[in-house]
Amino acid sequence: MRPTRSDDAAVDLVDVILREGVVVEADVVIRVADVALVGVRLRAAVAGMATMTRYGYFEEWDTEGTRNRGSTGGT
Amino acid sequence: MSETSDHPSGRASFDDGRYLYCLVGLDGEDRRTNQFARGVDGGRPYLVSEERVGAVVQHCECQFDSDRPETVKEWLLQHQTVVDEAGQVFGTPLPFRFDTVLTGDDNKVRDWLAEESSTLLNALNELEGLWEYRIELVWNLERQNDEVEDNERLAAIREQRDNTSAGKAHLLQKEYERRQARLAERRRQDVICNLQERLAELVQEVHSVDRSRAPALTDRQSGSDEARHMTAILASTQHEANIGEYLDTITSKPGLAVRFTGPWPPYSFAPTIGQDQ
Repeated sequence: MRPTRSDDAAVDLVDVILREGVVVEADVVIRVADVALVGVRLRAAVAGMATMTRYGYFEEWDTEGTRNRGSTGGT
Repeated sequence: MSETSDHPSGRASFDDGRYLYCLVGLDGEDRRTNQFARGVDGGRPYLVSEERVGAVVQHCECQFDSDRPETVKEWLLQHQTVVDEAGQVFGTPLPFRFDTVLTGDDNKVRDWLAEESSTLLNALNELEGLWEYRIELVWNLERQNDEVEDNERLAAIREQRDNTSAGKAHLLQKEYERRQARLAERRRQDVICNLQERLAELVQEVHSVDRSRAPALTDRQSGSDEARHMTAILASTQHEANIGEYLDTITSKPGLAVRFTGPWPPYSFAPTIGQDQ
């Protein structure tokens, strides 16, 4: 099998972007999306995304992401 | 440093800030000034560079927060699209977590890049040419229960249960289900261990994704009829075929489905910077 960037996979990535990534411990940086700090409104909104994805909301993302990825170090 | 204060919406606001998308490595003579797609909330991302490290940023004056799923979805799409573009132009980026903001102007960004240049260059070098892939194992518990039924101990309990009084049969049925679940769990753990051991031979880094850390976010929750496990790996695109071949051997197991996604920017393998300061 080959790896994909399907719309279903985008659900996982949403969570990854919110939870992972470079963390900076510095006075000049506000790190909002730490799970402990993320706004209640944002958290509530994102929680609804799994449902959105079932109805194809992420198809555009997938198409665009795949196109963008096309020449990024592909095999 | 810009002063921060509370925005009427409850969000932190400041005089001047830079939303951070990702960091990229620059060649010595690199003068590419990339035109990025539209950024988060319609912002215009651009590159701020200091020596051999660049930061893709956009101007902002407050945090991003919304209770509209469509809005958040759009922001995440925009964030990821910009990070993808940076990866295309500059190679593997160091992606920031969504909504990370540096308070101050471009000079403040340059000051920070200069201050942390050694750490940032090391991190960029370590991740160069590597991307994140995610492998999800999904078991159908009903089919897995069928698979373990040939276990000798389970067969013995079944026989006892079928040849005893109703009251005792009930207790034996409970014991049967407990043992069945334990056996199935042990087999799942065996699959996970074998998978991660094999992957460790093929790729740079492997780790299980702890989905319990953010139960309120978008993790698909396992239904009562299935069990899930996610592994994140850091690998070169050149290893995709070998990984895929191994995963093909796993999918032949009854009741087990495998999802292999990527390549993504290495969000799960990005470092913490400035922790000791």
